[in-house]
Order: sequence, then C-alpha cells, then structure tokens
Amino acid sequence: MRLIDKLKQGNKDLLQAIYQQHKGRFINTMKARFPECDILQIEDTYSEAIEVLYHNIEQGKLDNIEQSVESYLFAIARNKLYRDSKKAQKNLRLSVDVEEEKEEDVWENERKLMDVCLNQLGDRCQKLLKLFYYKHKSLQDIAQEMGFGDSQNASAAKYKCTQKLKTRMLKNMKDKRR
Amino acid sequence: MKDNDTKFELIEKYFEGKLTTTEKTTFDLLLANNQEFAQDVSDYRKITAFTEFLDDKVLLKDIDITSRQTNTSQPASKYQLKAQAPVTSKEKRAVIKPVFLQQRINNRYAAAVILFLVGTVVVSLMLSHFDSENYNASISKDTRSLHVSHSVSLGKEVIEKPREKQLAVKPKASKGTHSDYLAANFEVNETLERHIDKYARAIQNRSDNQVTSFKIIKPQKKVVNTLDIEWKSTDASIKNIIVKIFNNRNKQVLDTYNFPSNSGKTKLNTAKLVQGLYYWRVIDEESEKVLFTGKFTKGGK
Repeated sequence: MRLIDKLKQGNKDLLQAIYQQHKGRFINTMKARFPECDILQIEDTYSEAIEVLYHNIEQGKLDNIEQSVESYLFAIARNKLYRDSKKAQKNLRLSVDVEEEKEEDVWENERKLMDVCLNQLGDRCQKLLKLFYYKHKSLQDIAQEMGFGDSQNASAAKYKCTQKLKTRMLKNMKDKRR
Repeated sequence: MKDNDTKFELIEKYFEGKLTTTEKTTFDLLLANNQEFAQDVSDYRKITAFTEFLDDKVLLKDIDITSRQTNTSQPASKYQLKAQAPVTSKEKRAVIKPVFLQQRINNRYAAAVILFLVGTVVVSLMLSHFDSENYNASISKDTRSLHVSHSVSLGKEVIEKPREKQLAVKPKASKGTHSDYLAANFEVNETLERHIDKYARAIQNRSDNQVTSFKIIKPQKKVVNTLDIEWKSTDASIKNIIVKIFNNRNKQVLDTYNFPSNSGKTKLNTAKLVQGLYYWRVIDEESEKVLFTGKFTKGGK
C-alpha cells in the first residue's frame, strides 16, 4: 500500500512520523531560504503545511501525484513562508504596486540566466530539465521518454541535474560580479 | 583555503539542510568573514527560490489544484490550495495558498467581529435597560400621583343576568416593570364600564313613579383597607345578596360576602388588594341577577 493510501485511511501515527522525520531538515532548509523568518514561524508553517497535506490527502487530491509526500509538504510550507516573507517586505516598503511589478521582474533575470546555463549542461540533463521546466512534462512521462524506468529514478536524475544547473548559475553570477 | 567547488558544496548542503556540525561551523565562519561567500549564499538563495518556484509549478500541476481553484468561484474545499503558476514571464509567480489557513484566520477575524458585535449589542441592551429602569422609576413616581377619576356609579334594579364569560378581558402581560404593572392595574375595563353605563342609563330612564327595589346608599369612591357598602332593598324576593370584587381584568379578587338581610351595611376588607381599579358587583344569589355594578380605586390620587 502506498504512503498516500495509508494516510488517506486516517493513519495519524504515520502522519506524526512524517512530521517528525522531516521537521529538522525542513527547519534547516527554510532557515537557509528565509533567513528573515525566525524558527518559531518556520515551525508554525511546517505544522500548518502538515495539516494542509493531510486534508488534501483525505480529499483525494494527492491520489495521483508522482513526487513524494515530502516534496509536496515542503512545497506547501515554503510557499507559505515565501508569501509571508513577501507580505512582511510589503509592509516594510508600504508599496504594494511597486512590489508586484518587481515580482514579475525578479524571475525574468533568473529565466535568462537559466536559459544560458542550461545550454552549458550535458545533453541528458539539458533534455531532462527542458522537458520538466519548459514543456512541463510529468516525471512519469520523462521517465518513459528518457528511459529512466520509473518516475522515482527520473526524480533522482532531475534533482542531480537541478543541482548542477544551480551551481552553474551561481558560477555565472559570480563571474558577472567580477 | 577551500576552493570554489568546496564552497559551492557547502552552500548546496546548507540549502539542503544537510550540513554536519563541522561543516556548519565552517559555513558560519565563512559567512561571517568572507563577503564574497556571503554574496554567493545570497545569490544561491535566489537561484534556489527560482528553481523551487519552477518545481512547485510542476508539482501543483501534477496534483491538479490550479484548475479547480481558477475555474470555480468557490474553492473545492476549505483546504484547497490555490496556485497561480506562471507560464510566461508576464504572469505572476506561483503561489500555493493554503486556503484553510486563511479561512482559519478569517474565521478568527469573523469570530472577533461577531464577538465585538454581540458585546456591543449586550452593552447597548444593558444601557437601554438601565435607562429604562430610570425612566420607569420616574413613571413609577408619576404613577403614585396618578389621578384616577373613576367615580362610583350607582345602579338599581338589574334586569339581566351577568354574563361572566362575555366580560372576560384579556389580561395584560404580567411581565414588566413595577410601574408598568401599576399603570396596568388602573386601566379601565371597557366591558365592565359598559355595564356601569347601562345601569346608569336604566336609572336615568326610570320614571319617578317606579319603586326602587334595591339601592346602594354608601359606596366609597376610593378605598384604603375597607370598602363600606350600605344598601337598601324593598324587594322581598331578594334573600341573599352577594358582593363580588373584581379587578380590572375581570378576575374575582375577593371572596364572596353574603348579606343575610335585604337591608344593611357591611365592610369588605380590601387590605390585601394591590393598588388598582376594581369593580364590585352586587348579585342576588337566588336569581343570580346582577343588582349593581360599581367601581372603586385603591391607591393613586
């Protein structure tokens, strides 16, 4: 039986285990991502994310997800933290309109940089990431198309390729600073 | 001095939350003392945010949350997530909105607002009640000085039987302030008043030649603790006379008093009666004819 199915049956102990299993790493990760947030806020967000996760599972919204429950949990939580962080910044700047314009522009630079850096990666990583990020293919489809066997293998390969991309992007930014 | 790859590896681990204690110490030292390293960390944070944004976009697409949220005005559930992931740069960045949390917050606000409103209503009710008490207190004072000008009407022979059921008047609500209650006690009972008028008309229409068979000699307009009744009857058929006292709601409030003879006087103890308007009726016990209907007040001016 899949983890999702067990949770859907109301296995609260399992949910508690998931909560405990990922809590430490989540806090460390989010502290790095959102240094402006304190630990209590991160912990609260994590707890809320667990609730959202569980209720989405209960309602069958995660029946067909390909990625891990952990990925979904982290995605919920970090988006919540991102939103809170943005709100805090808006409150500080007292200018919502300017902030919304900037929000669009922020990723414009990152996209251009990614386009450049993607082409510097190996063919296999290039193809995988382009299928995933540009064509929005599912990991299952990518696994079939690229011969990874299953979506978990594709997910692991995608993780490694993304790390390479990020390192490449960082180096690129570092070079620009010089 | 660590090379760039090692630094990058440290940064990667830091953002993965996988630094060991030793690595964490090294990382913190570099972050504190190496400005370029700090900038690298800052840049990597942006890159991570961007890739996470892209990942979340795909993740949400997989679980099909976006379409449900955007295609319906009502969320599929209170826990439904909302995602607005961009396809082009013109679109807004992805957002996972834990609606349940917002609703929970909204509910808290709503609860606070409701609590505030309820509190306001309660306070205003309390204040209005307080004002009402003061107002009624002033009315109560006025009530004590209320002048009740009901005169005692005299009647003589009574032709018809009393129809008690028809005289029934819907009692006033007993709830209310003391002054309201008192004021209600002095309200005129229209039905009984009509009987008094009828007897008065009967007296007026009676010719001088007619013999008075029953006559109230001494009633009191206003009583304190006793109601003095004096009568005179020339009707030999009247054996026992009953006097009943009713309040203005046509409820008998005093026990029946039997007059053993056709003429005489008696006193009714009205000490236990509360302030108000009362009607008294003299009834021939034998024939059950109402011989007289009068009224008096207790209390008031």
